[in-house]
Amino acid sequence: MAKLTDRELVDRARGGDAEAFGQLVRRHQPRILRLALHMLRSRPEAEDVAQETFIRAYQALARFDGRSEPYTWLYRIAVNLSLNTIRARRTARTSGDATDPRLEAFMVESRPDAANPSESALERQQYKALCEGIDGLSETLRTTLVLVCVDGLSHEEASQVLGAPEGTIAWRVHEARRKLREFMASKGYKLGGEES
Amino acid sequence: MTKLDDLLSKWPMAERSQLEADEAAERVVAAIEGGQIPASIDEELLGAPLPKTAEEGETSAPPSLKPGRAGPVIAGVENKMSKDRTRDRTSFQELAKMATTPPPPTASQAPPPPSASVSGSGPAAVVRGKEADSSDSGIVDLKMIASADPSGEQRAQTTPLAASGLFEDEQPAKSAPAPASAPAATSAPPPAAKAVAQAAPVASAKKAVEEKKGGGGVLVVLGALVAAGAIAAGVFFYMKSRHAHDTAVATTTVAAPDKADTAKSAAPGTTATAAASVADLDTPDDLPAVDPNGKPVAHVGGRRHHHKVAAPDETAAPSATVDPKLVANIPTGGAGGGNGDLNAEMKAAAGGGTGLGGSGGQAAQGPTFAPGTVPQRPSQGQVTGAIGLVTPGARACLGSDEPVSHATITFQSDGTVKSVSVTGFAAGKPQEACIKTALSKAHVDPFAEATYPATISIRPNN
Repeated sequence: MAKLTDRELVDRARGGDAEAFGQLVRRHQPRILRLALHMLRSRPEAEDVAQETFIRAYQALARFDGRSEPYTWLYRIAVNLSLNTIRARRTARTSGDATDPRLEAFMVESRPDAANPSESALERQQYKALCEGIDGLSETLRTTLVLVCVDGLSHEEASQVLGAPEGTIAWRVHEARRKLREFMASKGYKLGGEES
Repeated sequence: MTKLDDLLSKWPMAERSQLEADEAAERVVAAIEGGQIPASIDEELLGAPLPKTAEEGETSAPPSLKPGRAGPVIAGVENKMSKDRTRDRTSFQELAKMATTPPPPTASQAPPPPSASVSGSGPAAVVRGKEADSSDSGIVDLKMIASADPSGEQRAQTTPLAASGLFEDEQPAKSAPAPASAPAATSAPPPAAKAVAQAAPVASAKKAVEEKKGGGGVLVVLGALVAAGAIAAGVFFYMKSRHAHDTAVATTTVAAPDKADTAKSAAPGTTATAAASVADLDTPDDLPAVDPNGKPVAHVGGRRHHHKVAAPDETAAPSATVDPKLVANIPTGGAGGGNGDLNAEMKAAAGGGTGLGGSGGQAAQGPTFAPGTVPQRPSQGQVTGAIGLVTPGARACLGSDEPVSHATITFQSDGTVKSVSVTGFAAGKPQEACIKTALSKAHVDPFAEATYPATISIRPNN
C-alpha cells in the first residue's frame, strides 16, 4: 500500500477499512504514547491511554469533520484521557523516582551505547530535576509545555489540541519556561534562554 | 550553556521496538474488529481539555481551525451559532437602516382606497399607506397626506378651529388660518369618508379640549391645595418664629444693676404703679413687670417670664424688636427727654433730670400729666434707685446668718418716706428699727399721688 496521508487513512477507516486505521495507529502511537508517558508518568497507564485513544477515535470517526489534522484530534483525545486518568488517581506520583518512565532512557541497561556513564548520570540528574520542575507546574502549563516543547507541536497545532487561542498557548509556554528555568536555577542548573 | 528548549525537545525516551508497536496496533485493530468499542461516545473526550485559567488573558483570536469546545463534532453546532450571530448582526443592521431610511416616497403612489384608509370615526382621518398594514413605522408622512388630498390645504384654511366656540369668553372665530395640525386632521380625501373625516377631528378635538378642561380643573384644585398647604406652613412658621421672638424678648436678660447705678437700668418709662414692688437688688427675679394700671404683668405672650434688670446697653438692643404690646406700655420719653431718649430717661431716673412733665411722648395707656407738673407717681427707676441707695444700710442691720425680711416703704407726694413697715424675720426684733431708720432715708422726686408704696426684700450681707 502506498503511503497514504492521515486524511486518506481516516477516510478509508470511515469506510470500514480497519487496516487503514491500523496503519494510522502504527503511525501515531509512539507520539501518543510519549505524550501519555509525560503526562501520566506511568508506563502501564500510558499504554492503556494510548490504546484507548485510538479506540475512542475510531468510535468517533464519523464525527471528525476534517477541518483539523487527524493527529491533533488524536492528541486531544489522548490529553483528555490522560487528564481523566490523573484525576481518577487516589495518590500522587513521586517525581523522578526509579519507575518514572520519562527517565527510562537513562538506565544504563537501556543505553548500552552510552559512551560515558558518568556523563550519562549527570544528564540523568539534570532530566530528573527537569521532571520535578515540570511536575511542579500546573496542569495547564505542564500539558501545554509537553505538547509544544517536548512533542514539538506548533502553537497553532497546540491551540487546536487544547482549544485555546494561540496567544494563550504562547503565554502558557512562556510562563512554563520561566518557572521551569527558575526551578532549574534553584537546583543549580543554569539554563540558557529560550528558543523560539 | 545548555538551553532549556534543547533539553525538552531532545528528551530521550526508551526506544520501542517495531514489534512492540505492531503488537499495540494489532491490539487496537483487534479491539475494533472484535467489537470491544464502547457503544456511547464520551463527548468530554472530544472537547477542549483544559479550561482557561483566570490569569490567562485573551491575547489573540481563537484559531481559525479551532474545533470548538466539543471538538470537530461539535464544531458544526458552533458554526451554526456563529451563523446565527451573524444573522443577528445583519438583522440589527437592517433595523438601523430602516430607522434611518425615510419613508418611501408616495407621491407617485395612488392614494389608497377610502374604505381601507379610513376606519371608523376616530383619529383615522389620517390616510395611511398600504405598507402600514404590515409594517407601520409610526411615522406620519405629511407630504404623502398632502399629496393624497390636494384640496386639504384650502379646506384647512376655511375650516374653523375645532375648539372654537367651546368657551364663552372666547372671541368669535376669526378667519385666521387653521393651525398646522389642521391639514392632517382634514385630509380625508374621498367623498364617501369626507363627512366622517371632517366631523371626526372636530369631535375628537372637542373631546380633547373637554378632557383638557377637566384636567385643568383638577390641576386648579391641586394647585389650590398646594397653595393652601404652603400658606398654612407659612403661617405656622411665622407663628413659631414670632413665638420664639416673643420668648426672646421676654427673656431678655436685664442684668442686675450694680449698686446705685442700677437705678438707670430699669425699663425706661415703665409705668410702675402703687402696687408695683421693687425687687431687691440681689434678687432681680422678684422684680415684676407692671402694666399701666399698676398691676404686675407676669404674662408675656401668654407665658410667665422672668424679667431681669438689664444694663442699659442690653435693654436698648432688643427694643427694636419688642412686642408692640410691650412697647405700648412704655411711655417714650416720659422722663422729659426727647422722644424715646434713653439717656435722658436714665438721667431722669437717676434723679439728675429736671424735665419731669416735659414734652415727652405719652404712653398709649400710661398716666398722663401736663407739662411742667409733677408726675402722677414716681417712676420705677427712680424708686429703684432711691431704694438701692438705702438698702445696704438696711441689709447691714441683719446678721449674716439671719433670714430674709421684707419691708414696705411708703413714699409720700413730696418724695420722702412716709412710713416703713417691716415683716418677716426682723419684725418685732431689734433689727426692725434699724431697718426702718435706714430705709427712711430714701427719697424720690415729688409726685402727684398721695402715697406710693414699694416693697423690697432685705437679705443679709454675705
